[in-house]
Amino acid sequence: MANCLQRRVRRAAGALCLVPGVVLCFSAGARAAPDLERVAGRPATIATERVSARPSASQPAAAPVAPVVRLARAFQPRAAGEPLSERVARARAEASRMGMWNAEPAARGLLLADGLGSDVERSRAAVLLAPDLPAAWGALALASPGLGFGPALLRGLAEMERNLDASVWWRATAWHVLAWGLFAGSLLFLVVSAIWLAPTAAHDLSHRLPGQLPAHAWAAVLASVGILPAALGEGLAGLAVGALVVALPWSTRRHRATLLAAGAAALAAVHPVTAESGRWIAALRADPETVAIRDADVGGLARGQRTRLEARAPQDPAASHALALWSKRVGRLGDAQHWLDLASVDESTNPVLLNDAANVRLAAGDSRAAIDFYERAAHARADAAIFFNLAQVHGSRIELTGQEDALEAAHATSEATLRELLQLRGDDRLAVDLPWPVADLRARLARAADGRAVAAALRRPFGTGRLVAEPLRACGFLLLIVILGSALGRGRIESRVCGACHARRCGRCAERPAGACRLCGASGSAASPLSGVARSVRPLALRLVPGLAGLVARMPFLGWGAAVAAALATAAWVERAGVVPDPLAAGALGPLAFTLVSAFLVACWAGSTHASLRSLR
Amino acid sequence: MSLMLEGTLVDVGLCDLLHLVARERRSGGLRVTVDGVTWRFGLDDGRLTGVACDAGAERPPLEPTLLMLVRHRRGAFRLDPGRVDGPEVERETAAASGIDAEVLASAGEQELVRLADRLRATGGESSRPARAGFPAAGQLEGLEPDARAVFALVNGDRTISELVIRSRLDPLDVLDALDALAAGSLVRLSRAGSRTPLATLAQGSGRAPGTTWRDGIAALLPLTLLLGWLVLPGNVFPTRAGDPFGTGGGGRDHDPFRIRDDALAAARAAHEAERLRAALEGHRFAEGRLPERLAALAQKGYVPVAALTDEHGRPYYYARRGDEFVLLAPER
Repeated sequence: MANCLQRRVRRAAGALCLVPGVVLCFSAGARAAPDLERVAGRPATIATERVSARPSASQPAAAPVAPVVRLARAFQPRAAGEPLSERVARARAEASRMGMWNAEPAARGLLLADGLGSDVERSRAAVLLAPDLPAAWGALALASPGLGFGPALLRGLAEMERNLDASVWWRATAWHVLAWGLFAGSLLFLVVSAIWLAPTAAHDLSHRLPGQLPAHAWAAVLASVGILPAALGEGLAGLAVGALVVALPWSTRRHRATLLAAGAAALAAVHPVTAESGRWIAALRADPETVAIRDADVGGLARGQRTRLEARAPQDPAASHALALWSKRVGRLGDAQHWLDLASVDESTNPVLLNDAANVRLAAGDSRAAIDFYERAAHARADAAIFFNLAQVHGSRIELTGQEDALEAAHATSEATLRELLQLRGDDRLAVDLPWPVADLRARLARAADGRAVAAALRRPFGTGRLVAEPLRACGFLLLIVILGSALGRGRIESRVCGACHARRCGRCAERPAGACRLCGASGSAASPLSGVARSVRPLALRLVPGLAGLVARMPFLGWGAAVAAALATAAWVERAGVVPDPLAAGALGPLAFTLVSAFLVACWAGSTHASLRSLR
Repeated sequence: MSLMLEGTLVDVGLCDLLHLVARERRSGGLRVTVDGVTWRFGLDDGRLTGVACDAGAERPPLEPTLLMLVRHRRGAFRLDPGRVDGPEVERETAAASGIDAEVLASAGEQELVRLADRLRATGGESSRPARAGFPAAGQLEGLEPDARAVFALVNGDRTISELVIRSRLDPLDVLDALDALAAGSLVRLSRAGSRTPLATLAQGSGRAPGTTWRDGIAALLPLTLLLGWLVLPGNVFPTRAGDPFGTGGGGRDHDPFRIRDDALAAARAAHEAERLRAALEGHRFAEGRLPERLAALAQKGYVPVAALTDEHGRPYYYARRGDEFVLLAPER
């Protein structure tokens, strides 16, 4: 059944490619020829001629029409009341003529213009114009009733990683959410632990230290110690330190390990995680050339962007690719060849550059050279789009065997991509340009970004003191707390609380903690006196205070996990719109994705709480 | 002739044992084992002289230990007339905390519980009652003889235990007498500190005797002040993230010429500019031309009105240049 379907797809593709391919070949050549004559002096010689200087610099060319302007002109209605679908089909065809797979500006325009049609119509049209734009899929998911929601959502989520703007945006937001979730969850767990252990600490201190302070006075002293770092200007980070100082010496071994993990997680949230968030927030404006390369792939280049790229092109093949792409799309094939030569495309093994070169040759009417470049590109990287382009050229030359082989290879590489390209081809003039790999562009942005100032601003809510400003000092301070807390806590558990009647049992108060309780005869436990309070409000408190159920059940790690899950869920919900504005790349999909993540984390919280309560029973 | 007596507390209760010790004026040692913990009492002529526990190095207090043990039925005892276990049961304790075993035994279990409750209410057995003033004429004559005897012993230094020992009265009678004296403002009952054994026992059941509301206020006042200082805006937490000038959270600052060094706001403005750029391109595609002014984007619903300015309320710069446009974030 599947093989039959595949054969049918290939045959249909071959038949569809054949006639249109001829049109593609002739029409592209006809459009390109005047430009080549103007630039190089004779037609179709660019395959062998190296351009030593930029041609357009010596000979003024006619003002090019930007790709986005061509798209906009194609989209304008030819008659009053023209249906949206026809306008979109015309724009899609124009994009295909330019080799533009993703016409993102056009898709965004459709999504933003409410008056153009219904939500479903506009989102479908947006997907047709920019299949790699997550915002388009997100709008389609929200507009699609019933079964259409899931596939559109999944496709949009997959595209989040393949779109530069969306991937940078979600990384910045996700790191920010992670920082706040880790910090707030760990802080909550530390504070709950400190409150939990404070009565024990107060009781034991009343034995160990001189003076006649009652236990509640010791509790007040401990509370003062807990919030003192915060009061000294360390903010929430100081509160975490204070809670750690109070809780660590009086905790059991397993609880102590969890407290240390929570402290380390809070420290990691304040420093490396926030630094990463700052880096991605600053990334999008860190390297204008990389942004220009992205713009060339999905839209057009402004004059300033071209100037920047021209300066960088001799050292950067990606800049050359962007300029070549732009030049080809505005009809300046000589310029395009110049930029490709500058990137040494003849010796290159870069499939994107080789595909560019093939497309320029094809636009110039040299289909034989185009086939050579396509085959080299396919050899460098098996890509369905390259095989599709190759099939298009073979079709234009009426080489049915080559066309079928190329289509089979495209089908074997990615059936979904092939199907999409066949759909996008419109009136058949699509020889698709490959975008520069998004992973490489993202890595460039990450390398160029200096997010220290942004990270410092992001850390400000955590505290304004030295713990937040200086990571080494914070690490040293945490180490000091660990050493002192462990030393103080060694064998210091002197009192416990009966898990049944909640009476304190202390060796110095004439009752051995490990034996049976004098009041009820039950065996001992390490419960806090607060468990008595918790018993009275247990149904509510244990379920609503994240981490409390784990503490009561003597499963502190589970409690910490619950606290972190709850904090992450809250952070994901609060920041679902993004720590920075979404540049209309993720669209409605971003908040939707973070809301789903938040719901999942709430489920994790509920699950861990349920497990803790179950062990209590 | 002295015989060793051994058995379980189910058969012979602790009160009966103490009766026996008092009646026969025994000396020696009494070992009581409850839940694997052994308590060793010293006996001297029918009096309990001290107690030691094998679970801790320190000697537990006598009365609370008895109060605790008398409730247990699951345990064993061994009365050894000729033997005092261990050096930790010292005869010196007799003067300070020796209690007539007969008194304790006659009180019975319920009486001991009542005694414990009364002691807690009074402030613990180590509380030192003091005279509150000179009695008025005829005031003492209206009191019970026990109360008069106790009043005669009160000097401000003696504890309730010492009053019980010296008066040779039943502890509950002593406490009744003290209540009557306190009601007549003849005696002031000062509460003991929390470190007294009974007080710490009481803490276990959720009470904190020996403290007054003034202690609570004294302890909580600095904490309250600290918390108050903490939550005052600007002392610890920044009033507004990304506002190093402390202009407060009172809305947008509309001073367009103020130079700021706010990296986060600048980054957000850059992203907002990207968003506006995308909206401008979208407008060009949908409408066929770029808008004359940035505000047209908001008027046609492409972006919200708030997106036309940065978070400090400063507008973005926008200008058309033929088919292209210039869009600058305010911080530039």
